[in-house]
Amino acid sequence: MSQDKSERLMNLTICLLSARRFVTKAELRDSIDGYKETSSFDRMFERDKDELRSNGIEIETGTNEDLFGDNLGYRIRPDSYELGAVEFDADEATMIGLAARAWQEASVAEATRSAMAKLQAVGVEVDSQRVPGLDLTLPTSEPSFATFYDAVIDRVRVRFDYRTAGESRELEPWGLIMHRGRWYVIGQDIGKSVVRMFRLSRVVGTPKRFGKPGCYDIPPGTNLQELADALTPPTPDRKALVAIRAGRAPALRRRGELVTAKGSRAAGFDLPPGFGLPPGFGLYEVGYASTQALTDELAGAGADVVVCAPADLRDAVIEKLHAWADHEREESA
Amino acid sequence: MSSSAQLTRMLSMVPYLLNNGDTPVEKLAAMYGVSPAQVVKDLATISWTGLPSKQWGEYINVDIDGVDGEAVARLSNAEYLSRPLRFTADEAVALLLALRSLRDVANPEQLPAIDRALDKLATLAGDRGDAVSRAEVRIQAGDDQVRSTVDRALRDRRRLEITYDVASRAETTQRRVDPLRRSMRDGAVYLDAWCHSAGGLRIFRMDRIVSATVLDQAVDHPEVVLPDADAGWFTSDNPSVTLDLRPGAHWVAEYYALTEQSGPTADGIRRVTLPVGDPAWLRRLLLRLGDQVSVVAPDGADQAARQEATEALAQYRALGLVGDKPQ
Repeated sequence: MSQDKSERLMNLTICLLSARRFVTKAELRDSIDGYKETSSFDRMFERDKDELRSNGIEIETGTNEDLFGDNLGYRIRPDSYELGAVEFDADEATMIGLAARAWQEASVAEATRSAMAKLQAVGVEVDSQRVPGLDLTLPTSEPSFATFYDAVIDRVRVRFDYRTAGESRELEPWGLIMHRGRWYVIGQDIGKSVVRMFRLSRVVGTPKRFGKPGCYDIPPGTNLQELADALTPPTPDRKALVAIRAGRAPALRRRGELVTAKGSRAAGFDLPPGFGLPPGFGLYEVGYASTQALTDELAGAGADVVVCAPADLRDAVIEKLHAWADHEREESA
Repeated sequence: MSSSAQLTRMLSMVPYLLNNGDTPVEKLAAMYGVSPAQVVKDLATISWTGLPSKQWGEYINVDIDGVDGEAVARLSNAEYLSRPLRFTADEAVALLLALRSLRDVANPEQLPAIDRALDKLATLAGDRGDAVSRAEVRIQAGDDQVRSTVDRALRDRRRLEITYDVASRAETTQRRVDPLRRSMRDGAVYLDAWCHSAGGLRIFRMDRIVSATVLDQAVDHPEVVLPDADAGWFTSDNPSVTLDLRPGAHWVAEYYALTEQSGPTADGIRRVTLPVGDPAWLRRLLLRLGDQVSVVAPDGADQAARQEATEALAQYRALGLVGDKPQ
């Protein structure tokens, strides 16, 4: 059954590709096995055309000049069908080989495999050699990845359930972002008319495509990189003064700038009179944008840091430490 | 097997066989990711196709011969299919996006070849590759210079001296390591190496290697068996901890790989069990979560956090930066 269909689609492709003029439906019906025998030729032919198009084959519609009337015909232009000529040197082929092995998700890995077979068909020598040190893995553990990948390419709407909201969302996906090994989809939330970003690992169940491909436009000038920046910490707009034990809390130290108590007073930081650093500590100015985020980080660093200023940050860290300090837990126990 | 996938395969297999001559069926199977039996079926189907009004001689000729016990395929009479179909959009995007991401993990000497390949593939894909601009992959791969140095040491089998920030202990360390492999996990690049300072196999995140120098000394441990790069980060031998997370700490359940979870209960508490690779990591997590978390089991798992918090508060008092507990 399916074998017959593959055979028919193959014959249809060959017929339209090798024709020098538009082939009419009547001619197709006469010459392709499977069309002759059927009583529902029109429906079958429409479906076959759709299937070829969804496989990436462009079918042109037109009328031959020598024909009378509106005898519509079809053809596939070789220049729109065929893969162009290309040559890769050994280094380039190695890099393509490495890229081809990067995808973990089955359907995208299959797309890469198919692309590589096409390259091999035009004589590209694909090399499966490893390059010491160079290895790329694009993790896609999210079950919904393939649906969103295709939807972004096809510009087709997607409906899905999202864990935190507990409700169904309808999205016009604009793009996919991988950050820290996790995938996010960004797009226009149709119900709420706002641009939103969703983490694929929080999508519940199977997302469903709806509507026609290409049915919405991505606003010109949409910059995925800028939108992705929303995932990374915002640019610091203020500074904290933090004492850090030598060799510890490297992430804080690298972001910070070593200063003196005198210098920081001059810079407007409020330090108690006679303030002296604990032994083995250095004083750093650390830029930040979110008091909450820096509070968490500083509390996590425990006794390796002492927050000197500003007071609101210091109090927030101290408050957090109280949650774990011995007397506190004993009192509440 | 969908007819669509089969059509794609057949339209690619015909030009491949026309241009490459006799090809083992096994090789075709590996190339297309299907069984040899499926390849034989595909070839049989191809042999029933050809130019319309198929009289004698217009079918595509397919032969499968046994050569030295191996099935070898050969094909002719299909010159109109001597080129494969252009890349589809999903093929073009998959390849271009992976190649673009490879730039992020490559060292500077490898970039020119990647860029040339990218250019050629983009030209080949035409507008079907445009959608690659709709995907953005960010990889934590560290500093270009560090990558270059590490690769040089890997290539020449030399020992490295590195300055490394240990995140879980929040400490900067100086180490001598024998590099074994660069690998990728969860969107970040790591260096697997034999660490002489620790006396064992260690995994270093490239973006936490602050600086690296190649030493004039060959590596000692070339025969170390590396763990499978695809295996999970933690093994079941590692100890684990069970935590109660209040709403402000629920992100933990999303962020880390859990071995068990339940809830949330009516008062918003989720109970999770997760492996602990390093006790210092747990201490930092507890301190950062403050009153939004409590330890259920094992007993004493919160001891380090309690000591650390007590010590930290004592420091604030000693420096005159705080009175007693805020009201």
